[in-house]
Amino acid sequence: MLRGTAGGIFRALCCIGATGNSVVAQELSEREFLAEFPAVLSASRLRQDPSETPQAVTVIDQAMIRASGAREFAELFRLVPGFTVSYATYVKGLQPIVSYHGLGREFFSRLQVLIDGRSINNATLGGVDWSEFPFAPEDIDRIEVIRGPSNATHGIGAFLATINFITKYALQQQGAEASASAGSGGVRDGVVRFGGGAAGFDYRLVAGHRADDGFDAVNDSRRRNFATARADWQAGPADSVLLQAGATDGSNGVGSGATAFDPRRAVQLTTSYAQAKWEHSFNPANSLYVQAYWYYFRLTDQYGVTLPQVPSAGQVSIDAGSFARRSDIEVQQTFAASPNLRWVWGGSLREDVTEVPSLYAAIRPLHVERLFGHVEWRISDRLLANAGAMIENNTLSGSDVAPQLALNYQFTSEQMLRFNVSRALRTPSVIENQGQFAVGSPGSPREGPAGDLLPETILSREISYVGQWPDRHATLDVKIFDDSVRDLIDLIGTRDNPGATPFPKNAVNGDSARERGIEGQFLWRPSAQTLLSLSATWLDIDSADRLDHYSKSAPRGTVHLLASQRFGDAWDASVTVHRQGAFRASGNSEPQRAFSRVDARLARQFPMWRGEGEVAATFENLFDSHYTEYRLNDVADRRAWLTFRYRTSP
Amino acid sequence: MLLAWLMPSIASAQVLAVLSDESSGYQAVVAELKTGLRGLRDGELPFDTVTAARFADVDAARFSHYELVVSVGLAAAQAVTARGGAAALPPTLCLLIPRQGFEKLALPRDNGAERRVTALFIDQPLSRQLDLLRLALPESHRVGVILGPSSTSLADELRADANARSLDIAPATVSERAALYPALQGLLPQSDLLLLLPDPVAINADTVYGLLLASYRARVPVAGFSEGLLKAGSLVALFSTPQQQGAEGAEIARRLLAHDSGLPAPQYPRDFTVRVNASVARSLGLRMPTEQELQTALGARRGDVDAPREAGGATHGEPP
Repeated sequence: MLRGTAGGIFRALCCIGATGNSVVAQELSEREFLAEFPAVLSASRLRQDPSETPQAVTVIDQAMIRASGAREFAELFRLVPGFTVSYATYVKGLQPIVSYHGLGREFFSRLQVLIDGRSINNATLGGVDWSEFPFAPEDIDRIEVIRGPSNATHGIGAFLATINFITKYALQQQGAEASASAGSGGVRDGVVRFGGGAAGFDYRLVAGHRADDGFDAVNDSRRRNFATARADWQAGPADSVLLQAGATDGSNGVGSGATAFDPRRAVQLTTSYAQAKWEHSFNPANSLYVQAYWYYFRLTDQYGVTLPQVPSAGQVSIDAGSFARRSDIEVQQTFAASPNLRWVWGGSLREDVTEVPSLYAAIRPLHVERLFGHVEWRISDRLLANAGAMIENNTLSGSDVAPQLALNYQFTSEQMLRFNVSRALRTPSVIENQGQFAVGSPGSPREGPAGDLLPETILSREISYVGQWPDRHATLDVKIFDDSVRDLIDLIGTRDNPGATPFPKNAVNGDSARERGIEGQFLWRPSAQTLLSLSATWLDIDSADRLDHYSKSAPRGTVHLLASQRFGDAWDASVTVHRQGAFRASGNSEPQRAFSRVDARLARQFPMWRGEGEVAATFENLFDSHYTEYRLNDVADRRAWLTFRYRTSP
Repeated sequence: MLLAWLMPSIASAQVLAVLSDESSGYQAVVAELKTGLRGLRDGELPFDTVTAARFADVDAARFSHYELVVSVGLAAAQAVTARGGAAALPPTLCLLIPRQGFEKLALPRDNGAERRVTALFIDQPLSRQLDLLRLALPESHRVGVILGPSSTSLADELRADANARSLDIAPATVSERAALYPALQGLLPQSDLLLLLPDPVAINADTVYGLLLASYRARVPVAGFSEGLLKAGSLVALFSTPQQQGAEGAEIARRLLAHDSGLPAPQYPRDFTVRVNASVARSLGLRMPTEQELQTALGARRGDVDAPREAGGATHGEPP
């Protein structure tokens, strides 16, 4: 009944948008040969061939996501060269930290993380809301990871790297699907999904729950409910509209109970978003989109503390929560001036409104304006130039420019060399810039008024080799880099100065770091049934380490291997091997030992009542290697879960 | 403008063009046809033009007077052939008509005498389409095909032609729009490329969007049958333009009007265009021969001009 009603509404919507083509002639005539169609693969929808991108790019597709068995989105980035993944367990509870070339900590993400073009970098506490994705890994079509700064193409915050989650079109998941997982470590996940549509209008509804107990010895369990609705509407031959909205709600365990100020408790996390994107094609070589989105984040963390020194004072109530609301509008035009010259340009406006009660101060909204443009010029069959720049102005750190230049030289039809020089910025987050701040040359922090903090900058130099052997279905990508990161923002006195005031902390442009190394990935798909992905990184960070252990913030060496094989028409087996050197994440971390870890997944599909069923067993850390994450208490152990999935037949 | 053409020329009426309607594609055919016939009969060849809607206004006596009737489009062919018995029908050449549409026409019986009606099809022979796939993407052997109610009859012929070229055909039959995407979900994972065949139910303005998007996301290139599909996002397209149909139609008409020959058998076009969507190719990381190379290679393998032009051998070549 519900389905009928919903279908009726959608059909009614479609009729409003009908373009006169809806009456389909049933008899084949010459009209089929002469018809004009919407420019479906318009210039802005086409992604670049990896040998033509201005930076190193890793694509994680649905096959790799499935083979990895990951239920935690952050885990997927272990497969990407140069990336490290660890988990912090305080402040907001269990929180993944994904970093590229180190410098990663629980706050201040130096990565840009986008979902369908929406930035989900947290506006208050920094970091990325990795646990607040309102969908499941199966809803992702692919993840594009841009390994290097790319302000000119990926906007504000595209500093060390950019991760772009592209979820499936509604059309890609039609019919009903349900899955449930249960296993050790309190893993209890469930998702239901329904996709449908009529001519030109497709929608998908996803709702789910995920929960686990986090690390064994830490109060860091997580419970989340989530829901997303998406609609793709082909409004006319030249116009398409994407509408999305979603929400998450749940709690994280937090607090060790070791001190009166940190009682064991549960914090509430609520997020919601809405997004609308309209895309118009003037012709296949010229298209424009306008996008607007809103993102709300609320952390509720209120508790009472009885001070042991003054028990007579009774309970003091503490509000460690925060709130953030982001509004963002963006326009972008892509057009090919000639077959050899392609332009992309656009602009965006963003407002971040934040409240952090524990700071005892009203925080002025952050406004960011951005203009960007880049041009792709095919100088000859062998030579491709990419040049671009972003100009950003924001109410915290003023105006700045991030330029980028890349030259791709195709020296054989299968092999390419890329030279890239780019500069990028990271605007301080609101909390970094709040209150009294110290600014000054590295090593000599001084007190200064709010607003004097400079953006972090990176100057990145890259030489890459990309070899593609289509007849062998193999790709090799090797990148040598030399990056200088300056004006790294950190909090004073967080670590080696126990006498420093605990909160609020003061932030400073206190350090710089030079990162040199080599990384690569080899991808081999000898058949549709077999997938092999190997990635490796060697990285050296040089820093004076005045305020943090930057020089140790990434492992020297990492190697990751993913192998997956399909047997017959029913069995899938995959295994992942991680080998990671010792390092120490930035922030309130403790050293992490080197470790090896093996994950495995075995799945079987079978026909089932009007559809298809699948049973999968996933093992994370199969040999129970007890390595530690962000802090020594965060001890990894083996985790295994069973997943049952059912999908109706097309 | 069309009204001026409609004014019938006097007794010496020679050629009548009947257009499905006034749209530019049909007019382009007529313009090329006229250009191709220029110079015949000392440049004084009378040429009348009428739309299918106004065709009834041409009286029977006048109609039987024409030396050649050229219909442009299926509706025009239907209007012309629906008119009267075989005796009344002047030699008729159908342009811009799909083979299937031509075969369904109510044609006058040939009483062993000369052919009265022939056609230059707008569709391309399956063999040529498959040759294009082999030339454009020699690595791709698994060809997914979307068939609808109109194109499903081609399945056997398609399979035979594919076998001869060591291509594997994976067909999916779609009887309504809603079935298209589920069919694609099954088809795309086992296809190296997707071949589209004209079918108003499977391939239309409503389905093309999802079809091209889904294929692109699965990194499966699409081969189309029109310029419209190429612009929308197909990797390659093989088609005859209205201009090519007009020019080739004019060659047939010239031979008839010069009394060199009677009407030839219905045939596939000899003139065709291959287009490659360079941005799609680049995005899929495909390195392809140029349009010119593909066109030449396809043209060269046709061999002798006349014999292989007969459509689909004996079974399809002759009007029923």
